[in-house]
Amino acid sequence: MASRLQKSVLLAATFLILATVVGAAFAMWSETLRINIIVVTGEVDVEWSDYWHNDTYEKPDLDVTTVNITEEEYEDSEVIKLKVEINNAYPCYKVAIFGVVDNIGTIPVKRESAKIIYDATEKEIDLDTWYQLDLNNDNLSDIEVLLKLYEDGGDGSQIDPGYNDTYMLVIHVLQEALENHTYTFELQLTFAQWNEVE
Amino acid sequence: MRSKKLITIPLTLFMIAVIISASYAMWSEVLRMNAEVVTGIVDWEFVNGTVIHLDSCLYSVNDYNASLLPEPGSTQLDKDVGCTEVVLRDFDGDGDNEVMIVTLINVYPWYYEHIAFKVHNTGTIPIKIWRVIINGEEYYELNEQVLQQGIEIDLSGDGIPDILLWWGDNFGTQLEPCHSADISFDITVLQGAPQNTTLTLTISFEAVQWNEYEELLPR
Repeated sequence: MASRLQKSVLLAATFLILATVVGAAFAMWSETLRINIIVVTGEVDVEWSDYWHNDTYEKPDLDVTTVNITEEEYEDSEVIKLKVEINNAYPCYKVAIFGVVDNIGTIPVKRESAKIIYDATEKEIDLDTWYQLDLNNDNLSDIEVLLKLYEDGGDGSQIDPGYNDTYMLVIHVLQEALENHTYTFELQLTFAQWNEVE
Repeated sequence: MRSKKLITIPLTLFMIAVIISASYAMWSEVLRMNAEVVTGIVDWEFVNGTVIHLDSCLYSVNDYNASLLPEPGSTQLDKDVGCTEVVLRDFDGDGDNEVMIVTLINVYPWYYEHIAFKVHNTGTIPIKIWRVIINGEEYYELNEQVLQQGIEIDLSGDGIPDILLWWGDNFGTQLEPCHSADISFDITVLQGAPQNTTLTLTISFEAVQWNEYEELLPR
């Protein structure tokens, strides 16, 4: 049984040792160098900057089929989706829709994919190839489409910032198309930073 | 009786005066010790003109792509899109560059940069490279395995890493006064980096006097 005096001496000694250890731990000089890293990221951004079609009068003073292109969807006030309406079409009717894809970002882009989407179907397509589409699931193709580059200043798929490519989508109504029917499908072009697209 | 007292007082005073005089009547010599402590200085710097990196903004050079992830290294691309600017600064006016400012401009996922530089002991005390503090996290050792992937860092606070950092391991290296060491690090921009954004990161790089290094390592 330690006496009260012994306890006091032990406590004081402990504090003294603790203070010595802490003092020793802080007994050093150091110098810090700093590296400030600032990362300013660029932007991948494309838009439809212009669009038109080549529908003409079928007969003098008679425009049987009409084509109307409107801007349907925006992102940051940039047009990212066009709506094409073809009214009163008939078998063999063919029209080309032209769209200018502008790279308004700061990073070069490449076309990563082109897809035709309807109902639950998503079909990846290549350029310069005709694809027949059965849009009403009756096992008969109603429409065929062809996507190609109309004007291209680059390598066919890459667009540098400030430059553009013009795509042409040709729509051809086939014999099996139903009368008085509405067909809808979507063309989706995806562009990504050039260094990640083969 | 009174006359005796009158004689005793002057006699006593005389005797005291004689004793005091005797105590001052001696020679003495004092030895002194003047102690002067001249302390050294722990100081180091990034050395001017030793910074090299892959993709300078000063001239046109095609970018590098971190094609080999998760391993380090890169392949050169066919375009000059982004670039990196590295400057050294002496903010405290002591003549040493204690801050390196690295700016990656117009960069994108998989953009890769490798920055190498020299540090120099400008003080008078040997130092050891102690630790780096990256985004508030202390590292006393990094890249223990040769091809271990670096540190993924979320700079935008969205919970998704924005950059990947490799730090050349020079921990514990001792620099005598005037000696220097080569150090380098890699930065790769990751998929999670937001577009059109400025992200900042500070790396603190600390050295301590050589004799305290072992004591300061975490147990």
